[in-house]
Amino acid sequence: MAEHLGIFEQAVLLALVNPRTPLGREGYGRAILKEVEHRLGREVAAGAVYATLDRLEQKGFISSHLADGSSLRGGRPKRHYTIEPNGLRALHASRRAADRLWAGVRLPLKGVS
Amino acid sequence: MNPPRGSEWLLRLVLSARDRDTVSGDLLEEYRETIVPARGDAAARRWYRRQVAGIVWRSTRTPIVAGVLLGAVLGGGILVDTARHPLADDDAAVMLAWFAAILGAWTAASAAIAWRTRRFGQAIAAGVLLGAATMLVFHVAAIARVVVFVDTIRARDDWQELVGRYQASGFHTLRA
Repeated sequence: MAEHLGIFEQAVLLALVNPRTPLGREGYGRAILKEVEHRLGREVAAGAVYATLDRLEQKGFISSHLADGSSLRGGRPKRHYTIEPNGLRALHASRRAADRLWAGVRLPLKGVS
Repeated sequence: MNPPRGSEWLLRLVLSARDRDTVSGDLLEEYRETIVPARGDAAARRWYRRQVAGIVWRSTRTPIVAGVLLGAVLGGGILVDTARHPLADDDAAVMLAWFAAILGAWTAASAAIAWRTRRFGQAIAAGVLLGAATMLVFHVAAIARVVVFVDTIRARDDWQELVGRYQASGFHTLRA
């Protein structure tokens, strides 16, 4: 049985599936942060994204490699993340679980203007 | 256009060697390219401090909270024990068991973190934080114990021996 992902974990994984940020199709920390903020529609603490990336990597849902950094970042390297098949499966399972949960419910819900 | 030096030092201190350059580089890039131009220097510095505070708290909260809980249990234990047996001397065997339990808890927590993260340095840092938080809360309880029970425990043998040694020392104040 696939592991259930929280909303934040889903946002981070989706940022790696289909990034659409002003930074382009990048999969490093800062770009993921911007993509997650875009998807959730609010400002997000950088620490929350790094903690989630760390956890997802430990679970084998994503992998990472280092790349050279620009002078803008003081020459410090970038860690690029890639989603792994396990991560894709977990995302699929989360989507299917949400679909099952919402099956038969018509939107907008009564009482919501 | 550099972020606050103290915050950057703190950030690099709490990050693991693996993440030190990559995470601080990401924040520096965002600070220079987006935050400073959009919000100005003062607000950008506040933003940077806020991000670092979040990362520091996330890196340290588990061992700190665990340490506070452990210290509260131990501190609560000596308060209850003193309330029940205010004149009983400390038992060497019981104290040894307490110390063994504390050291065991610290070691077990560090080992669990080392096993989970596979990062030895992180486990050591967590163990140190856990120990510091435990001892801080425990000492607060020990001070509270003296303040609350001072009238009763003045009759204890070990208290009278301590006061006797102090009076025999020739010092006239504990500040000496």
